[in-house]
Amino acid sequence: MDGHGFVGRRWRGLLAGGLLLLATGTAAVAEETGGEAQMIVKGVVAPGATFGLLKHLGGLPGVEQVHFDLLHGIARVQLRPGATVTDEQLREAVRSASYTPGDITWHPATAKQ
Amino acid sequence: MRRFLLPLGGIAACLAASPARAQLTFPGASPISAGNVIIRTQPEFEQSTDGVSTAFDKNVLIYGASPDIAIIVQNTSLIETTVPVPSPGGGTHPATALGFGDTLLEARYTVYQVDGVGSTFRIAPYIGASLPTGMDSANPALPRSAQPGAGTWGSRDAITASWQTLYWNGGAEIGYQANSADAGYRFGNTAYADVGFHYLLWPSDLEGDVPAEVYGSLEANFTSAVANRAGGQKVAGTGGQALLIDPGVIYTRRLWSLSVTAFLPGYEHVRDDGARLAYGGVMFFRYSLFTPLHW
Repeated sequence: MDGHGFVGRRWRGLLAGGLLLLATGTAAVAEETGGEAQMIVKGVVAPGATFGLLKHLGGLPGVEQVHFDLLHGIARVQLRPGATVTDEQLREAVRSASYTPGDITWHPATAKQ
Repeated sequence: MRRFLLPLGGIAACLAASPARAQLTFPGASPISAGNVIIRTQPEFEQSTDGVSTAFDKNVLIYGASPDIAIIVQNTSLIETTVPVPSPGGGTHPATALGFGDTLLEARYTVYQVDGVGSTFRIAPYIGASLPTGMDSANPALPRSAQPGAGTWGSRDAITASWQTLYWNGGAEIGYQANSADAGYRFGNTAYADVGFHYLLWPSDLEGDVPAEVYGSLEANFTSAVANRAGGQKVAGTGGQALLIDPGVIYTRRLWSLSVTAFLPGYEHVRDDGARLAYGGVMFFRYSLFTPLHW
């Protein structure tokens, strides 16, 4: 029991340390290169309809670039290094553009060459 | 000619503003973002069966005041109507009335909206007023209906619905325009119903970046107008029913679009065997701007 408990505590310590390193590393990448949010936007049907959407998303503080995939209804919002944008800010921007926000997933940006 | 079926304000109403990629010849319920400003100019011409021709340029400003409310200002900047009048020595010669037209103010509120990925269905009522900003006596020798401005106030109320997808969109509208009298002359009130269908012709594949699209469009406008009245008496050759068929093509990009549409008579019945529309056409050019000033 003790040995098992010791091993268990050691593994838990290693796991915690690894997660801490991973979290620190991820935070460092996000601070340096920014991240990307991919958000489903419902109601957009044509290139002309993306104008207001791109203006509202691109106008959020910290947003560097916005692309919209018309066929799949996905807005890709790239942040500037160190910038943060909340999910609610993204949803509100989509609502202001007269569309309906869907799911949001965040991706750490790949290192720039 | 439709000018005789509808008051001039009625023409303005029939071809009122449509945000973004909406129906062309009537207002739609298409989305317009808060802060989006759309400027549209649309030169148009019409030829009637009695030789009267009209050319005018309409300028439209559409402002997204909020995600649900759009404000629309539409002014017919210049109208030229040419009427063949009898010459003293026989035959006819053209007489022209040239001047500024009327203004239409409208507000649209989206009351119902269902969005999906690549689709949207919306219902939006319009309320509006036509203002007599035009010149109603540019050429006193010509009849009141040939003047650039109606000279009367009016109200315009309508409800529209739009169903749009990535590959096609359809829309419908029903509405009513009421006109007041001025100096004993009243343009007839008009009820109208419109339908439209647009189909994506190019590109066939929407995968990846889609900078531009080309649509084929087919729309129809039905109007039923009461006869104009002068001094309490019906004006001959005014009032009746008309169904116009409008085939066209649309090229649209993110910032701007260009479209060309023809007006062809489908069915026309004008009181007292009045003149009817022979043919017409309109070109639309739209450009988008953005302002952070909005609700």
